[in-house]
Amino acid sequence: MEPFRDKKIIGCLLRELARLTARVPGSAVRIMEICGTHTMTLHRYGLKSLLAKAGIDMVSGPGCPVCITPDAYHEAALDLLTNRDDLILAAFGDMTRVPTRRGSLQQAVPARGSRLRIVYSPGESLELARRNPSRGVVFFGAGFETTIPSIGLTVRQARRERLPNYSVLAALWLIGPPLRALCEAGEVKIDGFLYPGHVSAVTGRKPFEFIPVEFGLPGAIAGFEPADILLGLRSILGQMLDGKPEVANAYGRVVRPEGNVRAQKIMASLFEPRDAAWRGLGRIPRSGLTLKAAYARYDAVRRHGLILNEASSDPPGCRCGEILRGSASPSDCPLFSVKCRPDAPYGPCMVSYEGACLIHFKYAGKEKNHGWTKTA
Amino acid sequence: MREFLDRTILPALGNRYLQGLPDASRVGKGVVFTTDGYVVDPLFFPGGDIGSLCVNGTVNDLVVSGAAPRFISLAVILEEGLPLAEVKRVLASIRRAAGAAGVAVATGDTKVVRRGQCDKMFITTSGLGWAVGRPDPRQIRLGDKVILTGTLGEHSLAILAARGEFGLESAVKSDCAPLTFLLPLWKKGVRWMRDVTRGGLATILSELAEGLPFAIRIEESLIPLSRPVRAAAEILGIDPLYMACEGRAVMIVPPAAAGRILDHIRSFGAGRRAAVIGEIGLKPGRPGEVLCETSAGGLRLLEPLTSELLPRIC
Amino acid sequence: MCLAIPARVVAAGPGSKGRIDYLGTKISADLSLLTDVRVGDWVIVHAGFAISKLDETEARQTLDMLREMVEPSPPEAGPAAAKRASKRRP
Repeated sequence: MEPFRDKKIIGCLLRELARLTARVPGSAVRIMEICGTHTMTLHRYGLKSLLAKAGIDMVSGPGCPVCITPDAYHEAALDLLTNRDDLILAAFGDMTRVPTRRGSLQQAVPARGSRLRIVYSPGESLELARRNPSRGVVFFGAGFETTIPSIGLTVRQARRERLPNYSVLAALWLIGPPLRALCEAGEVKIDGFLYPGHVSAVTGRKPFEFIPVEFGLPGAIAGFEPADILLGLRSILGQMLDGKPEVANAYGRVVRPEGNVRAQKIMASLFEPRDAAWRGLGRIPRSGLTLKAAYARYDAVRRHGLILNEASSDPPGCRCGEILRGSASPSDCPLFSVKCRPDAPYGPCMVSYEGACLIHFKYAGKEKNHGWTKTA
Repeated sequence: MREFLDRTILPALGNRYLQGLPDASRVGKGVVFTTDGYVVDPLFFPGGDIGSLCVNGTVNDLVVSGAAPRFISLAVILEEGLPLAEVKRVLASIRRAAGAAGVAVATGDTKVVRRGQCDKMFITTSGLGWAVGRPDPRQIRLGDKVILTGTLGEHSLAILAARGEFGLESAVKSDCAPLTFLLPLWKKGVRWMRDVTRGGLATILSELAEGLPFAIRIEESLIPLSRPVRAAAEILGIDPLYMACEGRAVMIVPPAAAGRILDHIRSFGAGRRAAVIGEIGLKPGRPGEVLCETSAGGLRLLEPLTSELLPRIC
Repeated sequence: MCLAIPARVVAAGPGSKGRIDYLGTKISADLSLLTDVRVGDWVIVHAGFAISKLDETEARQTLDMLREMVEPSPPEAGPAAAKRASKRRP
């Protein structure tokens, strides 16, 4: 594991990237990292500024489930928690910290209340349901294809055990459609894509294949250690310089080109596509998943008669889509800092801690006087 | 919580003692006074329990405030139905911890409430000590060193492991321990000290940095971490820089004194992994910032934690 | 999100229940998404579920490639180099 984080090796790879970007005509190369965990690695290791010095500007994309899940879901979770004494809400930790106009889940409910439980795995919420037969358990989570099969498995298992008290309030997202929406919406000032290594472990390269074919943009599937990200970027630059865009696999130790077929089958058997509204990106057809009718009783929305006001959570004027594509900047957005702020965010660009709008909000007007920029 | 204190508590009660919300207050004639409530869940965890926690937590608040702890008070609220054996076990723990820290339980109170009106046991301890030094952030200078007395996050992880939640099997033990061995350092030049509790190292340093005309720069590769914490942090996606301890302190010391201060700390078992982890600086770094040079060589700005990583760990 | 770790399987079964070891810490992992998992295999675990098996050959190749960047191996390809290569773990 250590070589993947070794300062000397990272330094070596960065120098190589700098040599490659020097050969690319024009200004800095803009690469979009799609997955929230890539964003997290860049943030945690302070890689963005090192990459900027090597000639690569990283842009955070829409693959962060916490960032793109609309307020409607959090509000539904809040309603369940505050109005239903008979329910336990089991949620992924990061979902409980997202600020909404009514505060975050953690803020809304005193920690003393055991009715909000932070879980690491959807499997734990199933176990909670088994151990608390007199209470309902609702698993609240958001995820892409990495997490969807696991959530599906808990539903399948609940059905097998005939557990009457388990359901999921799950915001399930597919990785391909927002990328297509992004590419099709207009001029994309992005030179290449860093594809999510663990989503790809499930899906294989299929969701991304249209990008080099239809839009001529290079990309590489990458893992999550610092060296993995740099190896992915190296592959992308190589494709740019050779003029041969493809979906390269720089994470061969984990990702097979066909993905995890069993996981894909589980997804297909339990879920069906739905048109979904994404924070900041609007409604994208067949971009989300919902449980099939046969499993309706495990869908908390249908089970508890929840209303998800998806459309109402996006106020007019949100320009996250353009900001993500690079054709607008945070200060171009009429909502920026007026209606959309870190404590009351609208679009993903303000929720993600590497989001362009959040960073701009924190550092706007402050002098950039040291060797690192915009790393928060 | 900070907002609640600022918006509700201070306006109602604010006086010169509560100014700046210190961990302990100097109330006159060299007396330093502190208090803390303990609601840890579960009551018993590897390396400690609510008993050792309620003594060491209060003792440590006094130590880092420059006071030698002498007396504690003990107010216990028990939920009806709590097994007597558990109460006895906690009391034995309190006795042992008080002995080890050199404090006497001088006064106390016990209440029993109906089932469901409190969760098993809640304890409040107040502590009295005599001032032997005085933390003064205004003395902090460029070039001062940041010393951490030991590994991070053991207490948080011990609580997680005790909750038995994801079938986590870890060799971890809480670091809950008295920091009284640091008292002589107040005469060896220490400028400022805090115990690394809720919010973790990053939050504690952010709070200090807020009031400084300098930045604090630390190096990730110098921070002592045990293997169990390293592993659990990666598995669960928690950052050790934000994980709470109950027997670790971070301090700012003049560079000339750093060597002998480190020697002193390392001569005690609880301090054997103490290390200089950073320094007070500027450029890189702006006033008020905490910068961390990561193991990969990049710079990261550390911000205080505003929400719970894990609830009810102390 | 995509947070996952590579860990060694130390128990597989009963059924889909597994135990994995990561740097000496053990945790439960559901193995339902994979076929034919054996004790000693390395898997990628996300949110308590194993989603992929680690390809140990590829892992070794990547590690070797990274290490070569800072310690280029000497030109000889005798028993000493072979021993070094075989000592490298995924």
